[in-house]
Amino acid sequence: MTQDRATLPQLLSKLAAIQLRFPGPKDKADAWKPALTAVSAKCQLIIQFTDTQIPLFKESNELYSAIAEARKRAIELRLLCRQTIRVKNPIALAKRLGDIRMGYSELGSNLSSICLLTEPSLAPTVELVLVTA
Amino acid sequence: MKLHLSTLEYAIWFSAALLHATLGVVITVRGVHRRLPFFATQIYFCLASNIVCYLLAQKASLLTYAFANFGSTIIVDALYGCFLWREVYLTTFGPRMFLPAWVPYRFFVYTSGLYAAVLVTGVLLPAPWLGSALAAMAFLTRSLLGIMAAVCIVLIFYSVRLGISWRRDTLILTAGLLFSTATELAAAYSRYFVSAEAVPVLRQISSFSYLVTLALWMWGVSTQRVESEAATPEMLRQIDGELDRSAESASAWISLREPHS
Repeated sequence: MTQDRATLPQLLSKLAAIQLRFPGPKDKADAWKPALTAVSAKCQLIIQFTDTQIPLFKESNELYSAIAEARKRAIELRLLCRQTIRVKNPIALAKRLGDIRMGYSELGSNLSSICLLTEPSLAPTVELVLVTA
Repeated sequence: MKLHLSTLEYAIWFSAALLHATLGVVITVRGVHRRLPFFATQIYFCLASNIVCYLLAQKASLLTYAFANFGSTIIVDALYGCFLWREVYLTTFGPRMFLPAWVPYRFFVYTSGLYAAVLVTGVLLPAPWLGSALAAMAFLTRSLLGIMAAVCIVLIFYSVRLGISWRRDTLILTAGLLFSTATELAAAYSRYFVSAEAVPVLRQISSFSYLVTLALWMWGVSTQRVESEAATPEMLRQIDGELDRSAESASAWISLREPHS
C-alpha cells in the first residue's frame, strides 16, 4: 500500500489537471461545443481511472477519499457538460459550476485533493486541478 | 406422483443441472466464490435444488413439489438480490462517497418506477391470478422476476449514462441475469394471451433462455483474467501508459498544465 500512496496521486494528477479556456462569445454555442465535448471526454477518463481503484482499497483512508472525491466531481462535471451541449446554454454551465465549487471540500493535508475553480466572467475558465501538497 | 414432462423438457432440466455443476466447479477452481460469494452460493444452491426437485417430481405429491420449487425460487431470488446489491452495485457504482448525492436516490426512483410498471401490468392481466395458491405463487415469482429485471436494466443503462465502467465478468453476469429474467417475464405475461397448446412452448423458451444464460456465465467466468486485489507496479505502469496515450490524443481545446501546489 505504501507504493500505492506514492504513485497513484501522480497518475491522478496527470489525468485530472485540466485547464480550459472557452473561446469565442458566450452566446455562440457552436464555439463552446468542442471544448465541452473535450472536457466531458477528460472527465470520462477520470471516472474510468478511479473506477479501477475502487476494488483496490478495502479500508477507508485519505487517498481513498481523494479518489472518491475525484470520481464524484468528474461524474457531475461530465453530466453538466453533456447537458449544456444539449441545451446549447453555456451560461447555465458557468452557474452550475459555481454550485459544484460550493460542494468542494478540502481533503487530506498531505495527500491529494481536487478543486474545481470557475471564473464565470466574460471569458470563463474551467479548471479541474489536482493539488498535491 | 411422477411429473409428466416432454423429453425436451427433461433434456432442458438435466442440461441445467449439468451446467450448474460445471459452473460450480469453474467458480470454485478459479476462486470466483471468494469475490462473488452470493453469486457462487446461488449456483451451488440451484444445483442442489435441481436434484431435490427432480426426486420430489418422481415421488412426492404435486403440491409438495410445487412448494419445494417455489421455496427454492424464493431463496434463489434472495441470493440474486444480495448479488445485485453487494457484488454489482457496490463494486460498480461504488460506495455513497464515490457518487454525487443524487445518484443513489435516482437509482432507487428509476428502479421503483420500472418495478411499479411490472406490478401494474401484472394486476391488469385478465386471468384470475390469485384464484389459487399455485396462481398466487406464480404471481409472486413473476413479481420477483420483475424487480430483478428492473434492477438489472437500471444498473446497466444508468451506469452508461454516468460513464461508469464495469468489470468484465460482473457485466457479463448481470447481462445474463437481465436476459434470463426478461425472457421469463415476457413468457409469463404471454401465457395469458396464447392458446393452451402454446403454453408448453413458452415454458420451453423460458427454460432455454436460462440455459443460454448459464452458458454465457460459464464463458464469462472461465475467460475472466484473475485480478490482483492490490495495485501492482505493473498495473500502475499500464495505467500510466494509457494516460500518456490519451493525453497525446487530447483535443487542441485542452491544455494540460502543471498542478498547483
